[in-house]
Amino acid sequence: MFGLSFLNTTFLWGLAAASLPIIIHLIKRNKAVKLPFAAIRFLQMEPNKRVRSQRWKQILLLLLRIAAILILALAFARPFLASQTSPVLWGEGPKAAVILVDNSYSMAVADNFEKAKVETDRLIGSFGGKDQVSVMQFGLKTELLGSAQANYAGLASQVGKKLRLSQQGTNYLQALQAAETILLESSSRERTIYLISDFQTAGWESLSPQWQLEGGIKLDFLPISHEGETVNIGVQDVHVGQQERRSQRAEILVKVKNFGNARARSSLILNIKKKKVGTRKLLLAAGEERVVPFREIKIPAGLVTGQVSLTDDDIEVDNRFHFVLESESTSQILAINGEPRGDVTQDELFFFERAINLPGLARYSVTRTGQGNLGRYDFNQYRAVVLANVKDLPRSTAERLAAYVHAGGGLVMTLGDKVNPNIFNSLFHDLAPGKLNNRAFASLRRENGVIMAQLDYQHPIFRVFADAGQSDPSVAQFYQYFHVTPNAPEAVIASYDDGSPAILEKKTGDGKVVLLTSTLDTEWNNLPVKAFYLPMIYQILEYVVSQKKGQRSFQVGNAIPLGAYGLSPGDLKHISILTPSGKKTVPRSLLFEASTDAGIYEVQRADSKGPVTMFAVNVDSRESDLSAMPPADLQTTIRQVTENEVESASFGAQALESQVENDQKLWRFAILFAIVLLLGETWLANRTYR
Amino acid sequence: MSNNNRFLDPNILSKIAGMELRARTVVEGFISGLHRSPYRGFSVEFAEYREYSPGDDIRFIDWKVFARSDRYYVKAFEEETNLGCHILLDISSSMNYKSDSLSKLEYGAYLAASLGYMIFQQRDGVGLMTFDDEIRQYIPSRNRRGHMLSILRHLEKLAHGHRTELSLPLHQIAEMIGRKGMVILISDLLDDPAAVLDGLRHIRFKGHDVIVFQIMDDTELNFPFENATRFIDMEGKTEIMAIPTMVKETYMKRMQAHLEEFRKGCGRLQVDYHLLNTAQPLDFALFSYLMSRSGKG
Repeated sequence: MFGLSFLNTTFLWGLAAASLPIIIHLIKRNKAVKLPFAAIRFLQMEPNKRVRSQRWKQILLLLLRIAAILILALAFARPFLASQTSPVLWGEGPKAAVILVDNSYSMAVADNFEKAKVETDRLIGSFGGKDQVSVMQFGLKTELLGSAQANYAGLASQVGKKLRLSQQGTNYLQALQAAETILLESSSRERTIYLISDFQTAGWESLSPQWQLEGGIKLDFLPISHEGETVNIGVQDVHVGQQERRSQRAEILVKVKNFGNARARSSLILNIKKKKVGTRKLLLAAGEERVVPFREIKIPAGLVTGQVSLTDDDIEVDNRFHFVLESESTSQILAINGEPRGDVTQDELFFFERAINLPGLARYSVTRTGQGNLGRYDFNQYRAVVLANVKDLPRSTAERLAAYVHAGGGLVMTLGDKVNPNIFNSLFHDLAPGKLNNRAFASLRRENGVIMAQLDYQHPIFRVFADAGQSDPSVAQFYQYFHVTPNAPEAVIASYDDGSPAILEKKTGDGKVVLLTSTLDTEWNNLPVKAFYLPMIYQILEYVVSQKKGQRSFQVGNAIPLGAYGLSPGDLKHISILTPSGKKTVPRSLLFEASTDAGIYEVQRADSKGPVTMFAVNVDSRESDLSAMPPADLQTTIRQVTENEVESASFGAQALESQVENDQKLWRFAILFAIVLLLGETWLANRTYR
Repeated sequence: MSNNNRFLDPNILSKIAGMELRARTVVEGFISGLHRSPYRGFSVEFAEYREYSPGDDIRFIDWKVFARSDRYYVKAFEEETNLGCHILLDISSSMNYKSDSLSKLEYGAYLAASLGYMIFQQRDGVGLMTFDDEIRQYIPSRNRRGHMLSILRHLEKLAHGHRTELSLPLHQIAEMIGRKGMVILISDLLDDPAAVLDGLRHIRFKGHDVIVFQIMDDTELNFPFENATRFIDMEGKTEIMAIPTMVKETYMKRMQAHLEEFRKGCGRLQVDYHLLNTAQPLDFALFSYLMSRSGKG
């Protein structure tokens, strides 16, 4: 384990000085003088115990003196624990390594995963001489498969048993951080992370600019790739349109993409309640994506499971997409009109109501009211409240509104000429995602206003607009709006091209608030007459009410909040979850984290016939994109995020120096111990005959 | 000048050849010293004259005084000091101990010789008895001229005996000495004090005056040893390993108790007791003797 070594071995010669007390003892040893003595009668009763005691004391004294000299010699030789510091001191010694093996489902292409296994075995076999090796597999989550410092064959066997493909996406950052944590615990001078992966570009999106790899840790990329043609069409998303209430029919849109590097054919099959309800033939060029509609699909009432699937290709797991549909009654929306007009086209809610009340779509039902008689409305009866150009509200109403949102209600705030920034900020300082400033006049002539140029396409509201061909937000012109100072940078989810926030959002308690800094009608912009308006309104409403509904679609590796389905901690004793593999598990908490497989998960209750609720888990479609980053670019990327490498390395060196110093502190303890021994020797010597 | 210059170092005395010469040196030196001393009138001297009274032996009339004073005076000492004096010398093995050049036995022998010589010079009869656990030699008390020489020769050729067993010889001596006289015991008294004192009581019971000289070596009295020592019993097979600094305190206490017991015991028996250190000049012993005799005068 830890061997003791010395910095100044010359001083070890001083150990020979330990023989001095022995030599002196032998030379000056008082051989008992034999003395014929007449008055021996006065000695005869003297107990020999004391003589023996003195003899032991003398032996102890001798040992103390020897020990003190030995320890002093050792202290001057500057001892340290070799296994901790020898690599640092001599620049050699055992290495520390973490082998990260990508087991995300993209590694299923061809024999990539088998190659990764072989590479892992090869790497493990290359270590020896007490090198400390850990092996981890990672997708979205990182799992330690084993560690070894000697028995590498055992480690290889252990890894062989545990290493398996997952259905997860890739999170390189988390994996690198986990490996870094392990290596930081090692004092080895040579610390390396070996990354065995297909190096998908998508997996590096998680890399945060704030993260820096600790100095002194080397990164070794071991790319696994498949040369030749790859065929992989994957289902990216399924969107179920609004159900027609009478016919119970809805349009189901399936978004597919050919992630391969060659043209591919496939068949897309739609199943509802495990029954095939439609098939589509596909021919997709390399990289082509397409939205495939299944129209007039009848969806039974209640919880309904569905699945779309593609015929086999290189990656099988992304060929299926599972979903759960829930027929529901119309959601009630309370719209508070701050600027009602007799001319309906001039009414603040005119376009909003037209968008909501589309023929055949009864997803939301709007109740409109003025700002003066809100006292008779119970906000809790509505899934969301829309404040459209509202000037003022009674303080008590504002407080009720805040409580409503906090409890999970949705709130959409739109501005306009009636809004007074001071009153607004005073009333809604806890609710609003930002502070209103002055009104901005981009174009008084209603020409060449600002456009909504920057959208956060990762945000649930705009995610659906991320794909090309969807409604383009930039066609809308905004002539006036309010400058808003966001509470936090991340509150801004859309900005105008002058950089001012256009749409902001805030989560308050269980509820959500969305603020549009311009009007809901055409008074300050022409958004309502653009194609982007309607889906945006729906997406906003969908977003703010989603908390109440309970999400039913997740990705592999996500934690599922069971509380969103009305389950309480008390229910945990009675429920179990049937996984797609047919295994029943009992959740330990309301956050179910074992979503390891794609498919439908059924929450079952012992005293209930059917499932209490269901949710769908799908693979992260980004993982289907096999485009990889060249290792050289990755090195650059890592270097960029670790641009303070020198500084970091310097810090690492300082840390190492500090550690060396710490490891060598043994000499201080040795000196202290020697002093204690010498004090003990003095004390004992004074109590012993000389 | 200090008094010490008057006295002969026992070690120097030991270098003087012949016991007689040694005794004479001690005694004459001592006597000459006394001439200057304020000491007066000890009874064994001739300082007292008594007027003749009927019944006195006419042989003791001092005719010289009669010639000067025309009166009959009788030398009182002639009758009083013509006592038998027995010197009892312990020759047991323990007396053979010495830390310097002079053993207790040698010191005791010099003392016996000096006392004998001085007593003989005063015309008292001197006898010598040596003993260890029994009486080894007995020379009866006489005051003939050649008698002293035989005592001195005997003292010169002394050989140490066996173990100390004082009580038995003392009882025997008490029975052996018929005529009342003086008994001088020279010993280290390393024996059971009760038994020894019992023997002395016996001698006292027989009407003898008793003087005890306890001879101790300086190392026995002060125990100055330092190094670990294996003490071997001179009268037996006992060996004791001891670290002197450790045992000194106890030893000294026991030694003092032992000496004190003799001192008090002798006091109770009206026995003159003198502790002599072999490092001290013999004059001290003689002085002590005469001091004690003056008290009897």
